Amino acid sequence: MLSFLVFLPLIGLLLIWGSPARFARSINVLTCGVALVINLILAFGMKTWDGYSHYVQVDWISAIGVHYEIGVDGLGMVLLLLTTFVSLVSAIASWRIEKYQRGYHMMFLLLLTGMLGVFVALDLFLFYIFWEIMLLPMYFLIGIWGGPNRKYASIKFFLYTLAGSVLLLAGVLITVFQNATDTGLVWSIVELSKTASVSGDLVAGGVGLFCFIGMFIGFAVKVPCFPFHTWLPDAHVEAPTPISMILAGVLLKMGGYGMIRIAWPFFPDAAAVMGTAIAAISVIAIVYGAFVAMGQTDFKKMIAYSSVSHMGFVTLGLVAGTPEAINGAMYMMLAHGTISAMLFMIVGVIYDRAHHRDMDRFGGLAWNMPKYFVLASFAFFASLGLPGMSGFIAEFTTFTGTFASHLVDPVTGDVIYSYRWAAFAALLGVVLTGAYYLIALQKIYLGKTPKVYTDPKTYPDVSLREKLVLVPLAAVTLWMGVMPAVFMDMYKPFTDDLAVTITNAMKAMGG
Amino acid sequence: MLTLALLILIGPLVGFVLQSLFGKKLPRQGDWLTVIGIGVSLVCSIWILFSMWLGDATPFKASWDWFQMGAGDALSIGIYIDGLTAVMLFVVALVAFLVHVFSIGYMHGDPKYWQFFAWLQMFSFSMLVLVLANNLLHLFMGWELVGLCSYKLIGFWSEKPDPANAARKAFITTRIGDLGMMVAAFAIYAACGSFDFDKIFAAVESGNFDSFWLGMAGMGLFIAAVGKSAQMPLHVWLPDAMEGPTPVSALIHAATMVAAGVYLVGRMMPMLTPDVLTVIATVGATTGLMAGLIALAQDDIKKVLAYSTVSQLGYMFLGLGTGAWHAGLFHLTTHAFFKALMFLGSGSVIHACHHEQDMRKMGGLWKKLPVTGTTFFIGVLAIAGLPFLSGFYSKDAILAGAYGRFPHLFWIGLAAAVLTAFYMMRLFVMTFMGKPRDQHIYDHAHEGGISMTLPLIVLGFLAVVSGWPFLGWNTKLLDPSSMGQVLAMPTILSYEQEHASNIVAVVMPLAIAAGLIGLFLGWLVFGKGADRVPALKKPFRWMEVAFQNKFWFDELFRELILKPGYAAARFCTLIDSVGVDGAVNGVGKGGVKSGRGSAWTDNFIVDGLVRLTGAICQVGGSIVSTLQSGRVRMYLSLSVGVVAITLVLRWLL
Repeated sequence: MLSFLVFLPLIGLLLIWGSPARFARSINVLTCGVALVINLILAFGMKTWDGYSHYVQVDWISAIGVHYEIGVDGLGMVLLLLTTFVSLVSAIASWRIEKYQRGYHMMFLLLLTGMLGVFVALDLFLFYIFWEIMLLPMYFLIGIWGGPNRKYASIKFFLYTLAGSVLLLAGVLITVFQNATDTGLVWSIVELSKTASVSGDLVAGGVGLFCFIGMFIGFAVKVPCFPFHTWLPDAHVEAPTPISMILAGVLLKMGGYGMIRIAWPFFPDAAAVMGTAIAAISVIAIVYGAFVAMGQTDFKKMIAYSSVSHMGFVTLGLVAGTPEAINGAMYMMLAHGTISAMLFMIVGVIYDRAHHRDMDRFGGLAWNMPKYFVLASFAFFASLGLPGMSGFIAEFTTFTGTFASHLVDPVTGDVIYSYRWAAFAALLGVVLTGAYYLIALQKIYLGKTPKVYTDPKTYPDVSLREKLVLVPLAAVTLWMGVMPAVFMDMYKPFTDDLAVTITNAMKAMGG
Repeated sequence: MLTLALLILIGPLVGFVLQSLFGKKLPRQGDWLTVIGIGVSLVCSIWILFSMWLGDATPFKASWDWFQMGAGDALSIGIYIDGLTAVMLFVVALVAFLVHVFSIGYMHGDPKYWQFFAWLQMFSFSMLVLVLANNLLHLFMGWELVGLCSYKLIGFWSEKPDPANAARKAFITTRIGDLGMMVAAFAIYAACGSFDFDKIFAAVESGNFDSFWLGMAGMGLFIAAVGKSAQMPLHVWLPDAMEGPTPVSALIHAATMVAAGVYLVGRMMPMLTPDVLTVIATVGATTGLMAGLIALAQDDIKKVLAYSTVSQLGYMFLGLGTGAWHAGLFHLTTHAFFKALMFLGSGSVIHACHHEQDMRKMGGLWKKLPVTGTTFFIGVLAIAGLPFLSGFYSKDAILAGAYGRFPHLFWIGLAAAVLTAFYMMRLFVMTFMGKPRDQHIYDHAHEGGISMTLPLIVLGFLAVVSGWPFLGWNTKLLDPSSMGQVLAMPTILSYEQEHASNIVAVVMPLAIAAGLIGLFLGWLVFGKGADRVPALKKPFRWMEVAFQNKFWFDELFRELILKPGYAAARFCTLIDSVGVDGAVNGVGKGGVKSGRGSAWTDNFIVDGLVRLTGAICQVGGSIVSTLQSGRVRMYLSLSVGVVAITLVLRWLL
């Protein structure tokens, strides 16, 4: 059943291939809808969030011990749900793609398979394959259906992530070869994490550190962490709206997922050694990202940099290592997934009408497009962390956890480890985020309306199709903000265990 | 009790949802719906108030698990009702209700009439969430949501640039203060693993709280209060917030939201250390004096009231900081009534004068606006602290508390009391007395409908009676002993200590004198001697410049925070595009260049070698091929020759 979900998009792809172009978009939406339904059935079919359900393990390439091994626990499931949900709304948002419709929707579905595969793969080899499968459709989706500078952006995206993948692959291969048993190579993520949780880093010493750094950079490019983030604004600016939504909503989460599922559990000690450095780049990402967002005039670029800023919380929470911090980091991924998808749609709505994104040229859009304004300000406030919406829970939990990551030797009074400084430094980001969103809100929506934007024919309020995209996203954002337990309890068994591993490693290092 | 508490929240919440979805299509654009929504809250609040005042005042608690953040206990959401909550509920629900009613008249004809009521409902809901919270996180959520509503309502007329700027300034300035709240929350969680008030206080009492971080947490809470309650130096947003519609100013920026900071400090009193309390008292007194001075030089009727609010909030902090817990919160209550009264009164005046707010164009309006004028005068007398009016009792209590503990702050407070009476009299005289200065405005002025006068009368009544000692609500509901164990116990004054006869004997005459002197001077200068005002002002010109420029706080912020902030944004943007991305592009270009380099190498050297080999073979081949002519003799002679050469070579070697 889980395999069916993963490969369902390929069926849709074949259907599109075999039918006329005018059906392509309907088939895409339908496939994504079915995927979401199946996903929900799978979720309700899970008796526990702890441990892997719907587990399948079949020999694949037996010569090197590779299996087709898939399964989901709560952590994987919550991200699967995010993926199918964001894909569905993005598919609806893709309704107005005119150019090479069949090709576009086929690529879209191929991308979906890659994304779903990453979240269910439990074999490192399989994981890597799905990881690379995503690259190709993304490259074409940006390179063919993108904006004016699409070639540059798509090549940059492709090469940058490929370079990251090479480091990731190096880390993975060394780890696997160093952990070969008498019966052969072990690729299973489950088994390797189990080994690591008992006996520490999978590869000891300098090589282990290299493996961790390799994996970290590989994942960090996707997150993206400072200073590996510059592909993101270009890719976002050039990508068509629905692809930006997927990129921000799901693709960026791969990096964080890889860190939570692979890098940290495999190398808790190396992660502890690198802790201060990673905390520093996280804080830089949060504050610096917010400053750069403030300096943008392009609406979409501002949102892209706000992603950089928000994703800083993910790595910050991970290094801090308390259960609260990791839960918050993970919640940030979910919250950011829906909120940023919504924000990119908000940009898309106005870009469709105005054909530019220069915030300085907008003004007073609130008065002629009141519904659009309500949805836009909803998304803005959600992103800046207003209580009642998901971003607040994420930020607050991460902050609380990071601040709590502080251990003092009760006898000597020495500080064994402490990330309080990082929490303090990152607080500046909270004010800056508020500032740049409100400045943008004022520039675009408030004040006097320039005459161009007053014509209701060229500037109609949000259409039904746009509402179908925005309202579900808003509803989920609100739901996640009011009832966080629903989502947090899903991945909590995994993250709480991870927190124990990480804090033990930090203690061992400090002591 | 639980049902009542939930109804208090459900009323405005349902009102908000319905109003924002259907308000535009409802008859009268749904104003009645929202009045019912807040009416439900008001009825329940009155019920709670009376049952606790006249009956049993033991706190009511209820809580539910919300979500589990880490490995410890789940965080809760819940309700906590003690005497303080009951008083706050009544104040918030009553003022909100009256402001709803007042807005029916004031906002009549506004194109976004229905939206205004939706946001008023949302604000009422958020404020009630804040007041009912049983833990700091829950309170913080209400705290942020009232900030949002304040943003939306200050910027209600955001077609114009000023309201939009003011709204943004308010939100961001208070958010700076909120960082303090966040630090406090983190420190509390790190020490207690919970945000519940009960658990926090228990941890403080048992000494589990590290003393350094306890102090930090207390300061953080106060910084949050400084932001929300517009204390120095974060007070700059409140005067600008007067760009919002006047009912909003009355509700949010006078009676309820800005008092939330005072409420927060009052609520968290058991965990505040004596050092923190000293800071609170000092900041409060200083702000009280500073804002009073600035208010002297304002000509906009709402700006005067705004600075007066800042000043009075400073008073409340002075009360709390000196340990006069009861006095500070008592003053919060009475102030809410008389300041809301005066704001709504000014709204009535502005409405009557066709949105003219400059007092220099008013005058003599008492005749035209009898109800407004009379109730406003009650407000002026109450804030000046005239005996038997509510302000007298609460202000007196604060001054008495200060006198016992920080005598120097007492004198500052007394000076502020003179100033308050003086500028309030100035405001009243300029607006309601004397001769009309703008005949056109005067001629068209008229009292608003019953929806506008009724709230004034109700508030006027409360401004008179709410302080009367024999009612005893304040001593029962705001009893410091209800807080239980308090960290700064020796400094917290009981009601009896506050009103020790030796202190009252000194303070009360001084306080009454301060009010009377201020009122008299105000009348003397601006009423009787109105013609000589310019001449009188002359020697004080340098002071006036300082007051008019609000002691240059805005300029200070612009130079110290905004400009460096924007510069940093530009700098980071530059770094990002030139430095970080430049490096990436550099690598890319390097890659392309080295690619070209290898292409060249490939073309000329590697491939050249290959071709060279080919060429050599070709040349060799063509030489050899000429030998392959097919002639037998040639082959024969060639083979003989080869054999001969071979033999010779063998022989030689």
